Amino acid sequence: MEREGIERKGFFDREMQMVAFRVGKEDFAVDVMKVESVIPMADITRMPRAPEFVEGIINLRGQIIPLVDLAKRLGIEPGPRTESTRIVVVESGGVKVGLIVESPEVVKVSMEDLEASPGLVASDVESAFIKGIVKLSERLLIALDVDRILTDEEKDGIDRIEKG
Amino acid sequence: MILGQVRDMDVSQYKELFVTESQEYLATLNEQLLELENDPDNLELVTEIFRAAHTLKGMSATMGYDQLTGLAHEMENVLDQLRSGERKATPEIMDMLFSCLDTLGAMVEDIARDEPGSIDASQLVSALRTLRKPVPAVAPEADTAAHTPGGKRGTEEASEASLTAKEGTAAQRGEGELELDDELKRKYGAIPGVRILSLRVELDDACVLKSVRVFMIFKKLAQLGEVIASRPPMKDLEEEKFGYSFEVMIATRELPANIRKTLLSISEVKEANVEIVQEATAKEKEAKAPEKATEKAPISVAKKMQSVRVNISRLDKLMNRVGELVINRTRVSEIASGLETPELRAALDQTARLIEELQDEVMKTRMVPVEQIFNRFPRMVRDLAREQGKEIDFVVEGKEIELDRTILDEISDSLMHMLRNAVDHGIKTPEERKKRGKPPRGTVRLAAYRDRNYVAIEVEDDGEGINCDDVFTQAVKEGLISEQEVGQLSKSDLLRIISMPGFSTSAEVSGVSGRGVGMDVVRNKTEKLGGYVILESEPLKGTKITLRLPLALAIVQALMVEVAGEVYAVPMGTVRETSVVVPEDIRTVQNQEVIFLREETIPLLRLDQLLGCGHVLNGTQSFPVVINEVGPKLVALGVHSLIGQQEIVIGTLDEFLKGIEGFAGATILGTGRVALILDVPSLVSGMKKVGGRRR
Amino acid sequence: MAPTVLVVDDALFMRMMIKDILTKDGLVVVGEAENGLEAVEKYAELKPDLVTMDIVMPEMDGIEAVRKIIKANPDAKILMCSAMGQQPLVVEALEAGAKDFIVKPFQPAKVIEAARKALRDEG
Repeated sequence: MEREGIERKGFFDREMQMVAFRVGKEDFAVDVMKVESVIPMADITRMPRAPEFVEGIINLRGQIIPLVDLAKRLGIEPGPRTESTRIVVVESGGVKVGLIVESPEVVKVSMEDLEASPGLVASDVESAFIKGIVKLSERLLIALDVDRILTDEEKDGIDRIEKG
Repeated sequence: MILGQVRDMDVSQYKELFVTESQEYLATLNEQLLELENDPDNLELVTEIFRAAHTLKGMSATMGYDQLTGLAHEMENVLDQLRSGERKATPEIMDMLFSCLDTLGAMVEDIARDEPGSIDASQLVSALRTLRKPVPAVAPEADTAAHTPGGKRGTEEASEASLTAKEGTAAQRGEGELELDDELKRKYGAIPGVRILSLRVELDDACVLKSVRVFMIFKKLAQLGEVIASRPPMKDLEEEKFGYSFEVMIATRELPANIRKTLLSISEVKEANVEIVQEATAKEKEAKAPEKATEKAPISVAKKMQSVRVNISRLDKLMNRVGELVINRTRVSEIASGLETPELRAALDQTARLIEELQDEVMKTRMVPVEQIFNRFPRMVRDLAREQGKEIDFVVEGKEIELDRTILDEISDSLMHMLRNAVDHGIKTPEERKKRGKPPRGTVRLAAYRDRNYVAIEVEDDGEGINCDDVFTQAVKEGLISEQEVGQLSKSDLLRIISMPGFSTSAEVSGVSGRGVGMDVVRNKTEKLGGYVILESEPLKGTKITLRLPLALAIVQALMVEVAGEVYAVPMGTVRETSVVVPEDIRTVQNQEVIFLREETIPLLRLDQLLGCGHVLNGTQSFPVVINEVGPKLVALGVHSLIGQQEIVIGTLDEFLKGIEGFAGATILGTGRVALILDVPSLVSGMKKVGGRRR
Repeated sequence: MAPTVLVVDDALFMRMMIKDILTKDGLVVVGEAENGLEAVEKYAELKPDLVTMDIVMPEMDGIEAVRKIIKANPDAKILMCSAMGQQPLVVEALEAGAKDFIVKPFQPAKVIEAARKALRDEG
């Protein structure tokens, strides 16, 4: 698989690429390998009965995927939608999902800059979603664990919301 | 030609088949003509084309489409001249044949729409006629006789061989009986057992190939005796210069009754009167050879049926039922998950697998080779290229690849757009291409191939290519994107920009104009089908657009409704009818709103409430309801408006959203937007739980 | 047992029509062929009581097919399906051993008449 190859390469080079973006007042980053594409805001169809953080569903090149309002999901103050609001399509636990973010960009991160100590972050973000902290010149990026955005518990959660 | 004759048969039931098959023949003709254009001396090909035109003519005549028959006939004549070498397939003639084809196609279209006769082909027909060299006067019905290789004058030769009568001895043409001179009477009278009979044969007045019928009669008579004279004379009979009856004199050993019987056994012989002119001298009569006992082998009834033609609407219905079955399966699984009986689970798993296989099989029956639409394009590319003075090699690959019929229908226009773009904007004229150091002839390639669970269809040209920056600048000019946005754009955004509605429809602004024509439609259609578009382009090298399409579709009929600004699809499987409810008609019985419809009390569920859109349905206004049958019960779903019935492609919701009750999936609308497909039974049962708690 | 028929024509449309006409008259269409070659093969396989044979067809024309069938089965009963203006070809086919002919556009009464007569004809 191509992906494994690149990941291995990343490991040896001790340098990786991440997609950095802003949600509310915080800066985040996800592993570029988890990102399928970045697209402009799409026409959203409301998904009744879905968890609150599910903004709706969208048509991604013929595929129907859920769109997650990352601010709501992470429990932080949302910012306004702007011209630079984008959808970052990631794979979370085998499911394709769109994340609503602000001004995404690709950044190069050295492995040394990645600290796996979420405890140090002064943030409202639930620690379960945090993989680590990335120090990037002036900025501190919270590295998100994409796979946990939609977890099994979350799926159960949907059922709970539904049936409760 | 005998056209428009009274028919004792209703042919309307064959119309559909006629249209389909004619269109197939026309498609073949088109392909063959294109081939002929590149290989004008291929006589074999001309023969094939001739054959197709001939068959088409026969079919049209059978249906009584005289105009079509007439034009096919003229076309056949020109083709015959090519076949005989009288004419060459010059571009002029090719153009004429192509316009024949187009006109024939238009006529068939008219017939399909039940509006025959709206096309005036008289100009074309007269143009075709002037092409024909003046042929020596022949009976109008025999004029096609010249077509028949090796069969020229066949009637005459053959008939003469079996006819012993000498014209000189035949009776005079005047009134009265067909008389025989004494010399002949004596001659035949001398043979023992031979009598001379005068036969008056009357043919059915609907008989069309009279000369052939005469030939058959004479052939039969020759087996029974010797024909010695006829009136009118043989030559006139052959040339069909007679009404429907004629007289023959025959010397035979057979009994008059036998002769009559034999004559009447021939088709289209309406009556045969036999008179004895001279009785046989001796009674001895040759016993007729015992009739051959024709043994009939036991009949094996139709076996080895390899294919059946099925009406497309049946396949569609089948597909719809399967679609509904698939939707219902979800519902059953949900119910089962609450019960958790291992046996039930196992049985359901098995059912689910069977349904999947069934769906698979049904989908396969809908698969048709892409050839069915690919075949239209060589002609289109040829015509466009000729119009614009361009030289193009059109390469088609992977014709045999199969796709769902609906997908194929849907993408046909897209491919046309793509090819048109390639010819109009991709390939330049030979001079311009030479300036760019390219071969004067451009190549446009249309290729289909399987790529795992997708079918890819590519349109590639070796033309101008698309300059990203030009496109982006153009998009800014047209106000589709902002200046700032351009900075963030890369080559991968090209497709998105080009397929923005409105892009480059304001033509001839710059070199990039036109490239995007229809690309928004192409993209929408493709995505609606669950496929996607890839655009690759290199300035001055060429452009390749690929449609990646799913192999098959799950399709279902649905009623589209609108609730709080969102569109939902209600599968027709449960829909009984629609109605409009006024607030006065709504009653509340045991905490449940109900409506009364023709003595039936139907629970009313307001979809806006049910789907959590708040109480948008106003209490004082009337609103439409969709009455659904859920098992034995009826339920009315209140909506804001009805959009209409349509066929939708069932798209699945991924694992994450599947757990949400009330939806059977989602579909992509023509606009590219997603609409949820309601699972009415589960929606309703969910509601009842709530209702129960309320109490 | 109802007489059996092999219907030979390159156009499905024509085959359907003949088939319908003959079926309504109680005949059983046991096979169809799209060209002369197929007709010869199907004849050998099905041994039908009657054949309706188009003249102009790809692969092998109807006349050649008649010759082949008659050569192997002198008693074969073959009806030629002719278009207008094909008199010489029909004659050729009759010479080759075809029993009768019907002319397009088909009129059911004529087709049935020819079929019945051919089936009754023992010579």
